[in-house]
Amino acid sequence: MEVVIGKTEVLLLLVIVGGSEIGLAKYLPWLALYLDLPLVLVIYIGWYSRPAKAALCGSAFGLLADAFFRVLLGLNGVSKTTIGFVTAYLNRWVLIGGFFPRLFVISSLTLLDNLIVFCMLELLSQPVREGFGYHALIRGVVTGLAGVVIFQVYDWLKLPRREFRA
Amino acid sequence: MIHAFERRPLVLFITILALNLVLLTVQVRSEQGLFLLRKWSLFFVTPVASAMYFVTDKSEKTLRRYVFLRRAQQENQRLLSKNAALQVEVEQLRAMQSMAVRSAHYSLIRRQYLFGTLLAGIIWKSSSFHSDHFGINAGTREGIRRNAAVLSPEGVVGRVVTIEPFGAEVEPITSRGSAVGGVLSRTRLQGVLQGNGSNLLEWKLIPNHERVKVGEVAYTSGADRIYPKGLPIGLVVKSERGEMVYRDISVRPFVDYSRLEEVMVITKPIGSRE
Repeated sequence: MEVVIGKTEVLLLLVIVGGSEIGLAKYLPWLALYLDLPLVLVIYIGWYSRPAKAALCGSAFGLLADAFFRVLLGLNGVSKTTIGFVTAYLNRWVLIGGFFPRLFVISSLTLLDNLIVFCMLELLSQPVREGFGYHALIRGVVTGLAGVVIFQVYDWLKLPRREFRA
Repeated sequence: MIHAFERRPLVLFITILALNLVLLTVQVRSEQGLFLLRKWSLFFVTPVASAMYFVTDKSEKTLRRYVFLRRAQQENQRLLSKNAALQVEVEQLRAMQSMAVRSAHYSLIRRQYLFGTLLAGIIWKSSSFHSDHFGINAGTREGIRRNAAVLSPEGVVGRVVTIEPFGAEVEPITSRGSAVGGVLSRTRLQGVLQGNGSNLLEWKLIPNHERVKVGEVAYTSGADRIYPKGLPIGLVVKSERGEMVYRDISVRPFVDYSRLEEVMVITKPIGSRE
């Protein structure tokens, strides 16, 4: 089933992500630490878009995340551009219909995102905090679980209802 | 424009990656002094964060004022008794201050201790694992300057690193790379406390022969010329003989960063010529 994600929708999602990040950091800081909401949306957009659009959206969400997380601008830009691009190709070979395939794919992509961030920090000789691996694992699970729910809600909103009656 | 790259997505992908990398390298170079990109990003984030803070704060206060009135009576009683206690304390402090004023000898010390502060609300906190900075709703318009010390009633919080007309970014003392000059309450031993990104501060370069006990309080020494002298920093929670020449000392800050909602920013010292 084809899902079309327009420019206005992407802009709206950027605003929602920005607002959610501020709200989560204030009211649920533990969740904000482990949930990568921009990444979930990058994966969703990547899954239903062509590679060029997925990479562009990945970059936009990544830069927004950098601005809100107050880290080096471009750190998440690089990682999320890559994730968006990879996801757009991944949907040609992988089917993520059920709960566990979705959880596995989103968690794996979250780990890949963290790995890219780690490599970038090393490349730029920036300090990496202790317990990065442990943090990345928890982040993978939390983002994976939240991602499955967000995917489900988004599918429900976007996809037309199926009529099985003759 | 994107349609031009639909057939060659790899070209677009590499271009975006390259642009992001250029952005990163520019910032890393600018750590020596140029913070333009970070400043610009703060310029865009601050209005959004301020608006969010305004809306959530107003809704929260309205709810508390008009909906949750159950504990208002108890709260009123508690505040009245606290107010009475504070009044006594104010009188005591007033007496102490007048005593200090009489003595011309203390005029220099007074200049170190008395400073103008401004109360500011925290409008955003970095939720990232890689950064623990936070933003406040006061900037150059309120007279705040870069490197201004940020305090809370519990003790030292951090310093202002980036500043805008309507907001500023604060680096906590626990951040990796930040430092604060400290002095121990009992032994008067001075040194530098460094943040490492965790909840504890490391007190480095204290020789093994020095006696530092767990439970001692660390205050600011004023040697860093950012934090005024005599402000509480934290409690020594670990003091062990190090493997090499120096002791292994950890200090737990008094400030609980996870519960911080408002901070005081030092605007300028009273009586200073600036």
